[in-house]
Amino acid sequence: MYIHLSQQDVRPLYQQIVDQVKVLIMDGTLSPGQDLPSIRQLAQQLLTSVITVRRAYDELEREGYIYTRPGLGTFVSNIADAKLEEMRQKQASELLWAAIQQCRILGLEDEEIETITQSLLDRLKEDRHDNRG
Amino acid sequence: MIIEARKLCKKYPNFELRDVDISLPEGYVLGLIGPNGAGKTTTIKLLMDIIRPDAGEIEIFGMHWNEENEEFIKQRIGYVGEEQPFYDDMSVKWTSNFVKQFYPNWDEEFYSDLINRFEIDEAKRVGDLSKGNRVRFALALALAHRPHLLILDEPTSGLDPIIRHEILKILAETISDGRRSILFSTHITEDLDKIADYIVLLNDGQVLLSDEKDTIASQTKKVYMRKDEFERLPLDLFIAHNTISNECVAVTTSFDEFRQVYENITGNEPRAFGMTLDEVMLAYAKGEV
Repeated sequence: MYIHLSQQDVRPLYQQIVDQVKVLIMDGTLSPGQDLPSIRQLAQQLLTSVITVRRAYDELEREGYIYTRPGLGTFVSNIADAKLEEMRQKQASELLWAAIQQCRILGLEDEEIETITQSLLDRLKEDRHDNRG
Repeated sequence: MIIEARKLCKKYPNFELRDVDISLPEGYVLGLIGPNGAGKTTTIKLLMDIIRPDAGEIEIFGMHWNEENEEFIKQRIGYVGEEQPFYDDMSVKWTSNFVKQFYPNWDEEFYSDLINRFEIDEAKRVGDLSKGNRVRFALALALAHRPHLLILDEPTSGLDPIIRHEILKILAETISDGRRSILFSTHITEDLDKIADYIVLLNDGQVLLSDEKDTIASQTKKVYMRKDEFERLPLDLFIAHNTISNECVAVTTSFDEFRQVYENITGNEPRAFGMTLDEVMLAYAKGEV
């Protein structure tokens, strides 16, 4: 499992692990039932603190992304499609929230943010259309 | 607890260590950081019973240093210092044979495995080893008797990043079974940014900061804002700040609280970034950002 850790990211290291594992699960790179490295194994692989990895795994387990079977290991949860969709929405919501916050700091009004977002989505549609043509 | 030290004090004519606490549970890495002269080596010497404290208590593996426990404790500690006191004219092989005598728990297979991985020629004169190999040899000797506590005092100073990375990998391997602990004193904090579970920051003989590295990382952040915004915030949220015209950069040690207050005042989320331990140390020890 490849996780990228950055010291400069505002998010603490354990959060970076949580977020990336979520993405790997949601985009299907990690499949339901797949076994994950143990906490100490991942800590060793990433050359990072055991406490950090433990915290990440605890949160992932709390949110239902992974589960632990004592003596057997840690596995990716079998997440129902509806739940997966809900998680995707939540993740997207958080990303857009952060972007909107940044725009507001720049001094943009809500209408301007909406306009820009719409034009970006339109451009995306055009690109897809061009690629098909 | 592998190490439990409380209120350690040691007085020298020009330096005083005061009320130093160190706790290290089994299976974790504690990073001891601080400027040169902060008291890191003195602390380590106290923990290893090389010098005695003027006040305070030390327990290693739950035992006090005394005649009865001395041998037991020593057999279970491995140590690598900044300089390795080898006889430079003797061979690697001779040196390991010499050290081996003192440790009934010596694991020859494990030691050989390490020497092979490090590609150290056992016939070579110790004085002819490259700097990196000299340190790795010292590490192999320290690990060969499978200690439960590995103490490192500035072992990686002067080593290139590649060798330091190799050493970090060995350390990560060492604690992977959850039964051994490492006390790593260094001013190359990059290595601790990664692997340390706990951080103790010493400055001028005192502990300025002692906490889980994660907690430090999540609460100690560099934040950027306008000067007028900064002036509306309680000063005790910060340990350092700097201003250029109407911009301000500051270091907060209570990020959750700061974020709340900043949002209440400005209605926005703050521009915040994580800090390296170097930056944290600078902020705590010198009030600089």
